[in-house]
Amino acid sequence: MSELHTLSVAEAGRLIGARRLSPVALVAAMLDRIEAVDGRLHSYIAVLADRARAAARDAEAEIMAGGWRGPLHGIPFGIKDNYHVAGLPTTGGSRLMQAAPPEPETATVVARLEWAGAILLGKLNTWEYGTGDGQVYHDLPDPVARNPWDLARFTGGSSTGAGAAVAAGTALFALGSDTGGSIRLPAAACGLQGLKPTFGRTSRAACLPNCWSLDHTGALTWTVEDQAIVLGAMAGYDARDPSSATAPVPDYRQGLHAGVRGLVIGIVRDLGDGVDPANRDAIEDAAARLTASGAILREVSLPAGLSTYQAVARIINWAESFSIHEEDFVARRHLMGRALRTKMSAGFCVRAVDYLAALRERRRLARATDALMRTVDALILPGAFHVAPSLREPETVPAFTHDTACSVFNVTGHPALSLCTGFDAGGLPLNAQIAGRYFDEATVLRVAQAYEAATPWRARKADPAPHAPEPIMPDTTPNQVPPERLAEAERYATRYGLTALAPAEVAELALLLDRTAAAGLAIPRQPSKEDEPAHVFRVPLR
Amino acid sequence: MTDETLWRLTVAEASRRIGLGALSPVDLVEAFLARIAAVDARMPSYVHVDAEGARAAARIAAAELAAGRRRGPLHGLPFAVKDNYDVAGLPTIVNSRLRLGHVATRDATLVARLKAAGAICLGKLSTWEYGTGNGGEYGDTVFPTTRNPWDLTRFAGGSSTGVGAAIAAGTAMFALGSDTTGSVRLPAAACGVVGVKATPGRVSRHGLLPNCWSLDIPGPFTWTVEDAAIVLGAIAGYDPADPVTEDVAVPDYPRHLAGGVAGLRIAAVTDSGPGFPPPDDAMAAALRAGLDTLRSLGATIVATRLPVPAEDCFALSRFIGPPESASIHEAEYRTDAALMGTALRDKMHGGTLQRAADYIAAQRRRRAVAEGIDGLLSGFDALVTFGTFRVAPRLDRQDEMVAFTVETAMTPFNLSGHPSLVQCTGFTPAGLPLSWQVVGHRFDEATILRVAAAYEAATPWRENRAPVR
Repeated sequence: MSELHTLSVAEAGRLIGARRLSPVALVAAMLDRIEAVDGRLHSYIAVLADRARAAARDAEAEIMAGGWRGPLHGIPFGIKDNYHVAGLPTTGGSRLMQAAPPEPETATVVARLEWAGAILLGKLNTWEYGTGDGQVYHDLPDPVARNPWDLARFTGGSSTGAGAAVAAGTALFALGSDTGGSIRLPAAACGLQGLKPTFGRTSRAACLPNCWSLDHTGALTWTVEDQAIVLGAMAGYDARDPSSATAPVPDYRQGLHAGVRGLVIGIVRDLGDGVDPANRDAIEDAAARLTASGAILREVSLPAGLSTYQAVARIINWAESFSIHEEDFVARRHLMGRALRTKMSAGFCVRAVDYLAALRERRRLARATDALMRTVDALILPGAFHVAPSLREPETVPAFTHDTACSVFNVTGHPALSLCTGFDAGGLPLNAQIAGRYFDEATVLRVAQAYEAATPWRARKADPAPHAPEPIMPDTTPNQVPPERLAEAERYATRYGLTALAPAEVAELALLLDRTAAAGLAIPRQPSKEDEPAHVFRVPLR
Repeated sequence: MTDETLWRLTVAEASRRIGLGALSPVDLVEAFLARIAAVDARMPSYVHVDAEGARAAARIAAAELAAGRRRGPLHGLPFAVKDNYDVAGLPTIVNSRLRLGHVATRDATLVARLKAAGAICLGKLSTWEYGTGNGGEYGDTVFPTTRNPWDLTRFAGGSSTGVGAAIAAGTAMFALGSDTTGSVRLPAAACGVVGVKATPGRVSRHGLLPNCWSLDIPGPFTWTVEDAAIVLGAIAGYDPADPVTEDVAVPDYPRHLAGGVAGLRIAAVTDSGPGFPPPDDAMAAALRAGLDTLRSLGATIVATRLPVPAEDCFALSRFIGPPESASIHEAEYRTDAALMGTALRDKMHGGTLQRAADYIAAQRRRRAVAEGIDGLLSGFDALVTFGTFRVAPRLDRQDEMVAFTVETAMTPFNLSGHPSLVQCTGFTPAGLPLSWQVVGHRFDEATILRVAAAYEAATPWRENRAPVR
């Protein structure tokens, strides 16, 4: 079977469960596929061939002895290189962590997948520390992952390798992480199903944090059924993660095929003119198909403008990310790539009152959005507005990253899935977002499954071209800044312990001081002094 | 005819008499109104006395009691609240020119609970502007500075300035204040009364003007520990209107008081770490004597140290309180900073400039402090340490008032979320109250009340009343 790498998780699981496919053969096929395409795809940072082969032999022996663990037993997967695995280094795609020592602990979700029998193939490519400023500068230790549908194009970030791997079949499923869309954007760009579960649904323990209050763990898969299988294995309370929720985990495959008859699906059509016509048409087509299957479509609006959600997410993300990497930034920022360094410089400038204003607005947005979610069973709305941008048109890359409705659900914590809704005329994947009520991933998956089953898109597979075109570098010419503002930026930097800045860094800081101040003041203020931040100190400590 | 001594009654004793039909709420309220009329102008502890409202409530309580419908131990007992609690129909000025003319349209949850328990609100007690400040008294806010009933030239402690004074002077039988970095325990210490900062999540903050969402906690002031147990039991418990409150069962606090300390393991911190100047000799001697008392009652005392020095904890709180305050009062600061008093305005200036990075760093460090104190407490039933390091300073010594407010061992337990109370441990030769702090496991206010009650019963300090008359 030479096309094993194109199997879905569910198909491979059925074959393995029936002893018609050996995990050893499957892992070998995946390693062959990696060997064949990953030199130009760059989905992996580290391939764990020996570890995977050994695990496959163990799985095979266990299954042959009657110890089949379930649908993930023997299924090869990859993880973004911000998940820790005991005994292995985590690089986070950063030059700062190239010499990192082996980690002492395995991320809970990885451990759960391995306990379910899944086989780790390796660590996948990522933007540095799983974040950035939206641009690709080609200055990281690993070359940027390429989009399997068109190697000239970007995969979407930050879970770049996860998107590339599942689309190209170098992993049957992959774990990404999502702070403002980092699972859903690569899923959208690479034609996958990518789920950001409810905040608290899946553990974040032993993952490199990017932004404590917005980070989510989750998977990118080829099919919706695969999501159901993988989420069922990942989800659940973890005492090691203070944000983990105790809500019970249903069997996500139960009811997956129940259809949408009678479900009320809200459709959001008023997110502005920025959505590509192809994506917009595909959402209308999806809505029509769901309606034809018996769903009740209701046009709704988010309770706030998209820019409000984005502003809140941006301030929180800048500030928390900076706190996480502050020491690296102050002492070793020359080792950071430009995308991370720019984000850190922004975080260096954010005022506490603006961060608090964002947290206060976040509570309001979460409540108001939840009130909307309670009036529907699920929501369909744009995810990424554009198709995967070309690395040969670098100015389109940040637009792909920023023009989305993904961060809405990082701010509110609701589950949201990026669903492949077909392909544009150029063969690039289209996408929509399906969002649901808190802890109701089951309905999100059920809606997505109904759509997937009614469309032919899963039959089309990416076949990476033999050669990847050279990228074109983005323009990084420093902006002209008046001398008095340079002096102000330099004083600010010195006051907070940042010295020996290069002239270009001072110029950037001067711009960011203005930009973060404007972004902070753009956060709506609450009418009551009692409207408190989304998270305040609570005991007992968790 | 008003009984001149009724204001001296404890909550427990007044409750007992009312239960027996031997005391009328009407007489009790009149006694307190008379006491206020007699002495309060010299302090003053009140910013607003609701005499008519209290008299009307007393008549209703008397009628209910006469009809045999007793609501519970607080029925018919008068109380007062710091002027950052909303009481429907009364102004909530919070000592700020920014709120002149304000009248509350609702009761704070704790006020509503006390009213439902039959207690009678006498009025609003003085506070620093917006319940915050740096220890300095600048004389530039709405209401006059409260004086200490033990010595009218001295400071009553802040920010619940009128609350400690009211209990010490007997202008209220019990009262509610609020604590962000000591604002219940500082006035309790200065005025020789009991002040309880419960576990965050134990008592609702709903209807209080916020000062710092992540540190604020309301708390009762009483003359005795038993009274604190009765009042805490009446106000504690889950409130859906306060997202921080926990749905944790509230024990019958008074029933736990009689347990004594025999067999309890109590940690003692007599050195609060480097940084702050050492406590006054009298305060240190009282702490040592108090520990001897507990030992003689059968407790095991083990000397230990704070995981993070008290001064470092205070420094951390300076990166949490000011930015949250600046967020809370941001709109007013932008448009009306000139109307703010010096203490509040200075805090707003600083809080507005602080970086998110430093706020987050302080909140991260806070978790380490909390876990460190959890570690300290493991293996112990309670912890005894200093509250304030000094007795109430003179009102004309600005630097001493700031030192009194800042240099304490209180902030660690605001950061960590452990319940703590302050009680009187005697008096200086000049008659100024000494005090200590008893700290417990989270949601275990019962044990700290039990320790404090055992100490109180073994010492004569509750017989000494403030000389104001």
